[in-house]
Amino acid sequence: MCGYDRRLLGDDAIRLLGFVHPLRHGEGEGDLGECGVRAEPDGRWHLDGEVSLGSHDGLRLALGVLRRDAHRGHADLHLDLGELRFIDAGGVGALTEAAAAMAELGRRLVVHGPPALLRRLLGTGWGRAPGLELAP
Amino acid sequence: MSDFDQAGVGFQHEALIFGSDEEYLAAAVPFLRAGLEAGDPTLLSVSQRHRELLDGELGADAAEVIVLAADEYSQPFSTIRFNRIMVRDYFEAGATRVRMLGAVPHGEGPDAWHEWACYEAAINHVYATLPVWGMCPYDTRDTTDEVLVDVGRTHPRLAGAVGDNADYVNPAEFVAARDRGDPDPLEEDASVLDLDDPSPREARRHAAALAAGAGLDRAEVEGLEVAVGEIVTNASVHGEPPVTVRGWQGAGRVLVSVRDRGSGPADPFAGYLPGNLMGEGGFGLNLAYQLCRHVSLAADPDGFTVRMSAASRG
Repeated sequence: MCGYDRRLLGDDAIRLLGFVHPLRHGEGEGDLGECGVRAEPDGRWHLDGEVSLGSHDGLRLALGVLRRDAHRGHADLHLDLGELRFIDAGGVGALTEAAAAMAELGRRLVVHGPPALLRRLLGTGWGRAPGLELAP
Repeated sequence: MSDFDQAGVGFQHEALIFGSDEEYLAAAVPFLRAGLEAGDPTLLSVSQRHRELLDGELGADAAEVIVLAADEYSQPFSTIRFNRIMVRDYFEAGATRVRMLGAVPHGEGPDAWHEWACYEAAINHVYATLPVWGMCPYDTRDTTDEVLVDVGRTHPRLAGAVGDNADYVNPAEFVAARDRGDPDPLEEDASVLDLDDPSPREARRHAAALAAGAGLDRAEVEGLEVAVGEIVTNASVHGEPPVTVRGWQGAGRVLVSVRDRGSGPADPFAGYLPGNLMGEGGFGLNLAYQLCRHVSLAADPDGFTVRMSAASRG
């Protein structure tokens, strides 16, 4: 169990902590528990649950941290979405924005196990998603 | 916005209203020939019969015309997306202008025509900067008077006529005036889904269960689920509480309405353009338009209602 004093944390930090800790005690912060991210030994960040309005901010913050972390390590960012049950337009937007930021650094955001819904939603847009690669 | 949006050629939108094969060919053949002579990608999406007529007139040049897939005009919002991607690709390959003779469906009843009429108006705005010259043929022998009035109001130019079309109206005014709040017949029955201020997640889960319960196929269920989630998200973020979600189930068809107390989007073209995948606003409403069978928006003095329906294919 990781303890944090919410009096010392900003709103963004609280959202981010909610996102990386599947179980939380104490005051909740809305609907954050619907989606989470965790590291696995395969070197990928695994995103599970459902991405919708309640988790957009957490997802954006988490992707920002992971992006910078990947950049420092001179590596691509590998996300595994194999356990993701749902993603909405805002979630797709967060992924494509993070991928574009990676592309500006000459890196990629590689999505492993992309759900069929992600492919379908990407197929409804007209633009390209620079830096985003869907692995089989 | 990308480079091709700023090409500066601009969209030219012309109706070809004809009453005989001779009239059709007299306008369509020179239009296509001029495109081929200029080296422009020259595209065709018309009936098989008209294609054969045109092939006969164009002779060997017919092989240069690019024939689009039959489902090009399957759904207005997918057509807008498809056309933007296609024009972008031609532009990036070096084309400076694309010509297209494309027949918009108008024989499938007033509900379907309502959406295509709004399409005909809206593309004057959403294609405004695209380097496209489009000609839309309408045969007076199989087009109702109501449709012909709309055709006159949505095309700035008429093929064969000199000068601008005097009947043309501002597309924003046309779309806003067509905005229809007619209740769906299913609403005569009691609703089977009633949610007050649901989260988007809760609303879409119930909508999916409703659609699955009506026996709709997986793609239709998922389409409605996504659409309801997006519209409830929009209502929560941009609208005014309370947000109410209602659902009805009919034979092979479901309807979900989402209402809030706000006034809805101010832009009559909200949702017409597909998302550019970069997380800009408007993507959610366009998703609903693309993924549902029918979507209608209606503002009234007390609020704003989005109706979405899904139905079995075939």
